[in-house]
Amino acid sequence: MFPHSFMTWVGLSLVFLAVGLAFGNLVLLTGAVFLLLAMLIVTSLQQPSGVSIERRIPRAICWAGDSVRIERQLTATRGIGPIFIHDELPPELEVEEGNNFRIIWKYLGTTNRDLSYRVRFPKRGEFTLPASTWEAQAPLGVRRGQAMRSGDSLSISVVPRIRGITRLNEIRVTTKQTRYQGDLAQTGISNSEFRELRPYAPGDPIKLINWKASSRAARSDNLPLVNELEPEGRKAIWIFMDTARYMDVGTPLDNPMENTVEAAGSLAQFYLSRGSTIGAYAYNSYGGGGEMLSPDAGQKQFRRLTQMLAGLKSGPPRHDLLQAIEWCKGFLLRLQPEIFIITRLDVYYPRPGEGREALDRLISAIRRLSALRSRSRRSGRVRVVHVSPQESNLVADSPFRDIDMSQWESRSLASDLRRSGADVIDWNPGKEDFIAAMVRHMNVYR
Amino acid sequence: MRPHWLLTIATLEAMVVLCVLLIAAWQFSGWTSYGAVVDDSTADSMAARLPSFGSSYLVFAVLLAGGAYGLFQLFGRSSLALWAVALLTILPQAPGIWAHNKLEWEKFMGVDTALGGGHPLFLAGALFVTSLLGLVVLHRLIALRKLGGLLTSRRVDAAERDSALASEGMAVAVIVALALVLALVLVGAGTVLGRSAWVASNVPWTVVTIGGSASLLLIGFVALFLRGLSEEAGTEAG
Repeated sequence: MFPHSFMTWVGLSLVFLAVGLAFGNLVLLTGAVFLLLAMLIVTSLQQPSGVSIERRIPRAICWAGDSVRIERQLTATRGIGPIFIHDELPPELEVEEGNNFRIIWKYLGTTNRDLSYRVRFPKRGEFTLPASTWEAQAPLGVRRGQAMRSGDSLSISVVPRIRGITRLNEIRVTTKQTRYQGDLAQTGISNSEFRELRPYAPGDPIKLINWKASSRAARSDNLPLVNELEPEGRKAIWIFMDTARYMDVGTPLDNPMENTVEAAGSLAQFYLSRGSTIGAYAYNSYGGGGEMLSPDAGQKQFRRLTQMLAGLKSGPPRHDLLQAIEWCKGFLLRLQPEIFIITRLDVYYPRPGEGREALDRLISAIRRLSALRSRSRRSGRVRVVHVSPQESNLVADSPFRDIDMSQWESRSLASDLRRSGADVIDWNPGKEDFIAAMVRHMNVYR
Repeated sequence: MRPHWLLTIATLEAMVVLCVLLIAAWQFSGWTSYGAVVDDSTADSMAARLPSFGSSYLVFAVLLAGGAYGLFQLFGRSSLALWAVALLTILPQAPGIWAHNKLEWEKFMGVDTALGGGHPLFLAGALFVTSLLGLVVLHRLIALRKLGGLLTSRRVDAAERDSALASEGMAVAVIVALALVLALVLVGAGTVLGRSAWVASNVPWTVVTIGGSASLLLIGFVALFLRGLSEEAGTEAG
């Protein structure tokens, strides 16, 4: 309640008082009276109380890299003195504007202050901002209150930002026949999921005209607006994501794990925009298990996928692709989808003194998936996306600082996998974005 | 480059430390210059044993103490530095203040020696209160410096930090000034009453003595009670 130094002053003044009274010393008594009066005035002042802090965030979901303004309003009704206000933030967050730690000196009367600040969420994930903490002090540091919490904690879901697919579309236009073209269904049976509003075109069923929207948005050509519905996907895509701890090397914002999320998001956006059905499975995720996204199509599925991607955390490498296939066997047999596997190939490279078991199991898994695909009417090779760890992330661990051994190892393994029936897309996120890697891959294989 | 606020507080701190030490030195020198010991039989021998403090020595001692304070601060021992200065401020004033004792207890025990000299009563009182005021202000300046450091390390906006420091400084100034004025009023009233012959002859001194002791005990009790509350709150928080 009272700091030690305050009690020392009180003790000193009592000594002066006692000695002054005992010896009839007016000088000491005057000193004691001065000190005691000062202490009395200070203790009579109440530290600020009746403090409430209201916080609000404008949205519960944002993209990775977005800035969000956290609105914070302080109200203090009683007392006088400084109030320290602190919002504890997860370490990944960056304060861009304002400050999450503030000091407000409250005078007499009610104080209302806007203490808003802006934070940037550079990384995907589910973030919880605990309730604001405040602590009030009486003037001169006497009577320090305990740290109190005010308001509720806030939760925000940060979904990964998916790169645009414009360049891939351009490539598709210039290529006469690519294996991707068959995947890019533009038409199909429409389902009931709304996609967008567009002007009426000859041949559109009358029942699709959205009369309310047409009356609100009067167009110069007087054409009504029709509801565009999502077409049923002709293709099914399945994405396997390796989320083991070896993917989480490097900086928190730039590592193979984040690159895996970006690649999965880009692929999903590409295929879902073409009406395909998408399913996904992340193995070795946090907790040792896996996370599955049941196959579906449309914008809802994209939202489900981004939410899944937002919550992905790396875990111990307890399972491998072969076990993941077992988990997803039912879907794979039913859908016979195109398969994408996103992983780091260099971790399968047999080191001296280690067996080839992990590599053999990977090759077995590829062969099994390839066999599954060959039964399909639309045959296609399994695609393995190798997310190359950036050199700077490996330097600290590697004895060969000048040589990127992981590149050499992954290239060695890539030829093994190709022989087993897989296409290997070598992606170095430090040098190119994922779309560029895909474009390069299409140019090679068209 | 050091921040502006830190330079201001450090300068104020240095000025306050030098002022309180100079006051202490002046009180000390005043006592010695007045001869110090009243008893004729021992005056010569006591005076011979006491060191002779010329003004140059005192200035040197003040600078030395000020330097020691700075060193303590440099090594982050702010609390130790404050209480060392407090000791160096109060102790040298003790003989000069002691000379103004009204009750000479030593005479009850048959000792006929007492300290004398020193500055006149009101000057000694004013110097003592001023030095205490300086110590209180010094204490708050150290706290302000720490607060400023905390706010800077938490990257609080400079205007907000300066405003908080200025408000805290203003609060210190107002409280200290108020306490000083009230103390002067109380002491002035007491002095006026003490000089009144009617009051001197009619005040029941037994009641005053016992009442004074009771107030002292009450204040001590309150202090202990508050300290107990403080410890209890600390235990609950822990």
